[in-house]
Amino acid sequence: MKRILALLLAAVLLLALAGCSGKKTSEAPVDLKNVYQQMQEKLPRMMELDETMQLNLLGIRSEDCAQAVVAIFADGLQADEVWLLEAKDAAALERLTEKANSRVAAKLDETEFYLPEQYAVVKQAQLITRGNYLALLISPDVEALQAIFETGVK
Amino acid sequence: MKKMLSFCLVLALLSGLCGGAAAQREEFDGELFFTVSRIELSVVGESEDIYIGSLPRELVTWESDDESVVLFEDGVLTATGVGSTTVRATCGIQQLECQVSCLAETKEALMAMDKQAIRAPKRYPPIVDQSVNSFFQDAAIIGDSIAYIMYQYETQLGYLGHPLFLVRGGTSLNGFVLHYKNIYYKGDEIYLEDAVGASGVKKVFIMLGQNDLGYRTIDETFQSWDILLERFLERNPNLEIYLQSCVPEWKNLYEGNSKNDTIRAYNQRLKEYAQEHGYYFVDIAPYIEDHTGRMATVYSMDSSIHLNQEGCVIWMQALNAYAYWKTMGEVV
Repeated sequence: MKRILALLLAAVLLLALAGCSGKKTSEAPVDLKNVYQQMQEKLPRMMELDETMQLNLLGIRSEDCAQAVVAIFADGLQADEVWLLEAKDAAALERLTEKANSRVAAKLDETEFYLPEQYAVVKQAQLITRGNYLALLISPDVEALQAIFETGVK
Repeated sequence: MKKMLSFCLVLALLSGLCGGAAAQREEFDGELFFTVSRIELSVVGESEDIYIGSLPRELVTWESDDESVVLFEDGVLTATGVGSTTVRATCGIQQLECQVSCLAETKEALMAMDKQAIRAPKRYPPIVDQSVNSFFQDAAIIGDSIAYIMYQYETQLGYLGHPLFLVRGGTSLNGFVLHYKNIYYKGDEIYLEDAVGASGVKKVFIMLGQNDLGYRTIDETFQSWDILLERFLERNPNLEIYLQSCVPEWKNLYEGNSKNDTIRAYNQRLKEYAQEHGYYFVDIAPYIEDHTGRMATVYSMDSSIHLNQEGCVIWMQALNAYAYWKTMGEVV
């Protein structure tokens, strides 16, 4: 009887471990560069910002990010912009969310009386968080970008 | 025989004199430098001084390959006829050339020309070694949407070695002074003067005023300069301030050009203001304008005030040329 109980316990433990490892597999880090690559065909010519530029222009601190892909429109005053970030923890996510909101406010202010078509694009900006992932998507094709992000981080 | 001897003597004397002069030139420490690598004068009779080298003009030999097109004397070009040629300054082993054209005999003939010709750029900045862009590594470029676009191309091309950009679309001197438009620095909206102070930059290159001139007088705009620059210097008394002239707007030929007349008057005042206050003046506008005083068509992004990539590249080349000229004899 004791043997049977021990076997059952072992089986339960194994199943639990398998469950945990299965869960870990599904939470393997998403490659945000890959997600961005999928978005590129929906975007105009963009330029990716390096860590220094992310900090100076947008306030994104590299120490808050496990991954960061940030791109802005490359040829003038179109509003298109994409942030794909993986925050290191919940506190970092909060700080990054604050910067993203600040960026949207700045872009709304810059375009409101000056570039009405771009203002309409910025107004539809999507700020999405899933776990520690954050996306700020500003584009006339924002729904398509959103779908790519949602699929990518599922 | 006597004749032959005296001829040889004269030759010897002459070559001695020339050799002496050349030696004197070679001993002199300095450099030849023009404001342009290429220039199109609009009409016959037009003059322009293109020499800003550190070698004294009297030590330089000035030559034009075709004086029926342009005379070149003491660094000053004067158009004498329609055509193209090369001018040259020589001093010892140094030599510098510039391509010069003259488009038309008269202003009337100029305006009757093909639009593409008269809407082309008049001047091209000197091309210098880009290693001079270290000059900008402790600098901030400050401006409105015009500078924001330059930020994009600088980021992609690296012409200025990636200085800090403190830019915001739709802003003005008045906005920065009254704090109703501030700058986003590291993601936070803060006063421009605080961003300059916090960033620790040693130089600021500012192009502002374009948006002010739409609704304020030149006098009012300069009151804002006084306040803004005083605040900058409170944050950093050793800050080097470089004021850039505003670029002209693109306008259709059939439209009036009064805004560009205002910009020209403003730029002239900015130059004098910089001299009076010990700031530096960097004249960008001449490299952007066409033969009518408007923005050259090839540099216009949106038939308005914004420069496209080609225009921004010219702007960055002009800044690099300025940096080269400024540091001539120091680090170069």
